[in-house]
Amino acid sequence: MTTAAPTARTPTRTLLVDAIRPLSDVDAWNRLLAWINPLWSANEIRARVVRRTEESADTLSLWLRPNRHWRGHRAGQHVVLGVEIDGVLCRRVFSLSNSPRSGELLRLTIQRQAGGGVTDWLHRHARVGLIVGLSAADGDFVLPDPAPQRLLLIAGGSGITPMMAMLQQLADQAFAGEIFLLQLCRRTDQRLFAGELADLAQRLPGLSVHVHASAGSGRLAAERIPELVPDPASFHTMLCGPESLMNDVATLWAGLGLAAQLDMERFAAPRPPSLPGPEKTIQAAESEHMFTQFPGLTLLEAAEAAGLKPSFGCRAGLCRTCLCLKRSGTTRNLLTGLSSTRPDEWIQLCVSVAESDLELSL
Amino acid sequence: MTHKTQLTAEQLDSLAGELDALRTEVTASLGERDARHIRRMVRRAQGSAIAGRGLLMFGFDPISWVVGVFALAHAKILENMEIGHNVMHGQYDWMNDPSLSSQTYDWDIVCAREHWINSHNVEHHNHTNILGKDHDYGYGMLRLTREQRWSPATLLQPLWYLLLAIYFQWGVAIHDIKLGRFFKGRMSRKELKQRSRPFVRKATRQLFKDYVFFPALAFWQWPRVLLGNLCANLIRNLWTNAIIFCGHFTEDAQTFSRSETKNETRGQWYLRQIQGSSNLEGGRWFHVLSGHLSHQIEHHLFPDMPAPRYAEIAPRVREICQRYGIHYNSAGFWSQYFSVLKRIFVHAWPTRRRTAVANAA
Repeated sequence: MTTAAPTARTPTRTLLVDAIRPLSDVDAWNRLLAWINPLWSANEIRARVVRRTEESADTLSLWLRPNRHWRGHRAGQHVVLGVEIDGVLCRRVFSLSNSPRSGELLRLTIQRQAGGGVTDWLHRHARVGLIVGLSAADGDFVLPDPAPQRLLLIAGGSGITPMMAMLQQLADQAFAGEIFLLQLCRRTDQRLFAGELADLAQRLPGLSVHVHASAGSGRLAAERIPELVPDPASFHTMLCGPESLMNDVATLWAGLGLAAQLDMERFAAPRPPSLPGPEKTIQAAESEHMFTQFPGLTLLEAAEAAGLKPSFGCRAGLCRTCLCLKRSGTTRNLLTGLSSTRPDEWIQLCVSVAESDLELSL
Repeated sequence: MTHKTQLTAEQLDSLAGELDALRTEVTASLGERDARHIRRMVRRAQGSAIAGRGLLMFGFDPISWVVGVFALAHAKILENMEIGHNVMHGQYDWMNDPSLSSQTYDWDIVCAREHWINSHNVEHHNHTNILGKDHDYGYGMLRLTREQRWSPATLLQPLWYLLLAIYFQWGVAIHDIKLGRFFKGRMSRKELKQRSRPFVRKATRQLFKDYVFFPALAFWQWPRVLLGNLCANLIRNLWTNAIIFCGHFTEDAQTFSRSETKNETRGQWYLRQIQGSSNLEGGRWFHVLSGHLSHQIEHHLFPDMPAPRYAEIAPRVREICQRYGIHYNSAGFWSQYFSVLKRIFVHAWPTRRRTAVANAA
């Protein structure tokens, strides 16, 4: 099985590289290398699953040993994991749940999502020895440097994973400041990393963990967080969890004037507004297709609805697999909210919407 | 020669329904098996190319040269037909593998991918065998039916055909530039230059690879490598040409006029694809080496279905055709190819147009 690394290929090829094909054909070299050793690759990060541990009934951790292309990560960052499921290369973003210590294994903690997909497949098929593709670590959800003396970590469900990496890193650095971890889960038996957090508490004297299970005491309204946390304004807040929780907390923090002290990690791309608006006509130049983008669809969805099959990965604006050259027109990036009119610009189809008629190199 | 089948509107609708259902069924069942097939083909082509180029470069004797030539020709045939052609049709796009994506794949032939996708996927597959619209019908140089115009130069078309077969990759490569328009004064020099740019780039790359770079890597053995590459390209040209000509130019492959295909329904489109195409019978190896174009009928019905599936659905397509009374044009390679050659020779002469008959019908 080949598991290409979920990175977008560079579109610009130098003349020289072109001239000495097939000797410069990276895919061909990778096939040869993988034939000798499935971990070997000329440019792709591949990793072998060396341990699998069950964290709860629906969550497992995979311990990975990456090949030499792995360049390390910062606590809180994520990777795109690529596996081949029934012939289809599928990718999904996961936070690394351990701190970056050199020579150590990487840990991904994966909650099984309803409706099949990558997480479900991993729960059923991930065994020791499985080879997976990885992207380089990415993301800005990392602790400020130097770490603030008072940290508030709000983790909903599997949103605890990047926090575990951060806590490990802080413990490694013998962090002496105060850490308030608010861990939200549905039921207490679904709470992740209880044992590990107890161990960390030994090494981090300032760590206090507050667990809230919604099954017992109802969903925690964001407004109640300031009651649990004394003086939230004195904390730097890191937030990761379900979309609704993040939106609620972000709104509340903005209301308290604390937006600058809040970092958060989103895995789901924001949806394009479905307000009625004029349809945009998109010309896919390479395939000579025309299609229409209706409000409420991303460019990727609109292209797929028109029968085109652009490559895609995480569909959340992270992995850049769906990168596409926009030849002309105005697009808006849903992640950044920024519009761009620049011609010949690379855009991520999965998080872009058209603001004018477009010509895409599709 | 068989005649075109006429179906009622209801029959055409139900034909389209049956074929659509067949496509849906196969699409839903795509999976690991298909992925394994194409990956195996890629490995086989790569291995064969390494073996071929290695033997040409490092061998000393004539036997290793001949084996090397055939290994390289085999690699190029597999890569062009079973991999390149099919991948660029988007047959494996569902795998989401960037190295097998129709958006980026480029093949080992002088024809630029953007030219191919336009002239083949867009024009030929939509306008199959419509005279004047399908530029692949006779490639603008051969007269294969009475309906095409005759000129004295047509008398020499067996010779033109021989040249086309030998230089087939070049014929394919310049096809989409549409030189005919330039010679008729319907294209400016500037537009011609612009249209030929992808071709020039690709051809330079291919020529450099086969006739400069790899020979140079062999030092004093360069004549051996250069000649070997030339022969491998020639074998590939002759083979692909023979297979491709059997696809639409056999005796029973029908042609269509612009007027009879105006406002086609889905059913009429399917019917034309079946009647304009012809299949070749042979073993599994033969189908693979023809890129499954031996299942031309199935390929024209479902151009983006992974090719090995054509062999699986062929009995069902044949059964559907039988029920609707549509001629399912299928025979062995030699008999089909002979009927193509016959057409080339027969229509070199000023055969009369059938317009009178068509009007009577």
